[in-house]
Amino acid sequence: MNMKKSKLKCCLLALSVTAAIVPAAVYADNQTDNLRQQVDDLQNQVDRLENTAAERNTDSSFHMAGYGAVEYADPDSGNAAFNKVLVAPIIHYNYQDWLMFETEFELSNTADGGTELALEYASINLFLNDYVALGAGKFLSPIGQFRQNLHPSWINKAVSAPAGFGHGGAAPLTETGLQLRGGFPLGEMRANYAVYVGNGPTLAAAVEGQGGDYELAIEEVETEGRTSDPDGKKSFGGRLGLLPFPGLEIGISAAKGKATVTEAFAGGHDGPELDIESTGEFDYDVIGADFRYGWNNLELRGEYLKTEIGEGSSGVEFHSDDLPADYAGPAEFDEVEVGQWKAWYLQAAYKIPSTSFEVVVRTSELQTPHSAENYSQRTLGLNYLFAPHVVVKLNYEIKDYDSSGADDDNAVRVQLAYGF
Amino acid sequence: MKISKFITSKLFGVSSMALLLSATVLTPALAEAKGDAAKGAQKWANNCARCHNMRDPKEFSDAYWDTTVMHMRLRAGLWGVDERDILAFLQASNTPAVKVTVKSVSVDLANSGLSGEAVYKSTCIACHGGDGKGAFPGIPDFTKSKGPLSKNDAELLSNMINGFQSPGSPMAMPPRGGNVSLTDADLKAVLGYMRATFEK
Repeated sequence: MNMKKSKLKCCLLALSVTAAIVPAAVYADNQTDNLRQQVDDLQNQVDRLENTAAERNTDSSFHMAGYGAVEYADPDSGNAAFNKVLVAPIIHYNYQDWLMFETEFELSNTADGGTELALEYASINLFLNDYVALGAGKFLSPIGQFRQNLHPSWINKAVSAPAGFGHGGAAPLTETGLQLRGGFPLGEMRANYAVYVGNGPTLAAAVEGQGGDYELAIEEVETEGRTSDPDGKKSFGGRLGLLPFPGLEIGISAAKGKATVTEAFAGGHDGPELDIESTGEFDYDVIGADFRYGWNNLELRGEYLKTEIGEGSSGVEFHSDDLPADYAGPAEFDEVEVGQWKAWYLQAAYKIPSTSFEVVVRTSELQTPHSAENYSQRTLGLNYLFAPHVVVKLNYEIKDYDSSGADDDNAVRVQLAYGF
Repeated sequence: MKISKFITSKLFGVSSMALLLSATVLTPALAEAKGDAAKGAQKWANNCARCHNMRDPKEFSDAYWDTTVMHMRLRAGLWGVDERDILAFLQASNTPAVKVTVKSVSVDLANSGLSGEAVYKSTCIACHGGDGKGAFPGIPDFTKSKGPLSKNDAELLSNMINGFQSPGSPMAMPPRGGNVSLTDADLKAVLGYMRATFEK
């Protein structure tokens, strides 16, 4: 009897112990599984991060930058409107540390709701050594500073470009060809340079008639880099920048080449186009100078450019059997009116200490052979920097045309610009 | 006339080729050397503001800065060594600053091999300027009585070691000013220099 009782006790004890241990063991197994799962998850995360890191160490890397802007203008002579939406994506693709492809597109909307697309530049650049990079393709003209480095909306201190530094002005825009760029020490100074050879510009001319007399004048120097060279002679030029000490940069620029008339219109760009049969070659020369001085919160800039079209080797002749019906002028001009396109600006920008505000004052002027196109532009602006690359600009822009027949065009302009 | 033009155009072609060849043959090939972050800080401050506002180093990842600085070398006419130094500074500085105002640090004050002035003029001057008033907008003014130097040494050392972003500043100061070779003792020395030179 006692044996049976003690056996029963043993069984009960064993059952109790088992009942106590089994759930604990199951719980422990579950906990181990959970921990193992967490370790596996962490291992997967580490693997993913390692893969990401490995991708960053690949030979090629891709980068997209650029800028966007939205503008609102309230001119004295028209209706206020949201007048511009612009995005300019820049794509960089580099291979190791010696090759970079870069391109910039510019997309903007038009007054009638359409979209304009332009290839600002696209070039392949080889870094030959620490001081020389060779670029080939379409590139921003290295003449002067504004066009090549300051025109992006988030960098430009004002809403508009200075007079003569936009399309149709005195400053060359882009070039197609080869370019060498870089920098080098010059004693205690630093220096940077850019020299290029390219297809060069072309010319647009217009026939103007007054009292039965007609003359053909160069209307515009078209400096958008093109993939043809109608005159068959390459243009070359460049810029040398000197930095005597940090904060001061002085640059000089020059370009030389030939250009021919590739477009002609009766009575200006809005008139009927005249079909060109032959044209002489015209000398194309550009000189320029620029400076930048920065001291604490103050930055001063200035730039001057002169583009000159010299006498042609011969005149311009139109296809006489293909003239517009309402064109009464001659089919051949032995002489073409040439001239100089000059532009300059001075700009001061001051960031108000301990705030995100910046005050900007700029004055600029464009002088061409055509008095109706000549004007000066003065801008007073207040910028607010949400971040170094996000800025809203409020400008009052005064535009005075030299010609008494042209209406001045003052405007309040607001722009939100984002460099990314 | 035609002969003169022919000679001019050929002379230009030959000169261009000579420049290209001399540049590629007579100068060393692409250097393998790593950049110097301390020098990069100075070069970053001296060059980037030539065209645009200073971008915050922590705006981009290391890989993004790699390509961006390569692009900027083209735009700004930088030398290869400038590119590498500036890249080293930006990649050392793009870790976000510690958000905590004061983080306790164990400061090792032994073995300062540099004077405070030497440290300031090699690293800090890039952003804080020679006069301590800030080399560009948004950098706090050390000479103001209620400026950064009104804080105590422990807090300032903590900020210098961990990195710090002043209110209203467009960017954060990277840990150790972006120069990881600076020891705690170097930072203590430069703090002493700043107090002696700029504190009112």
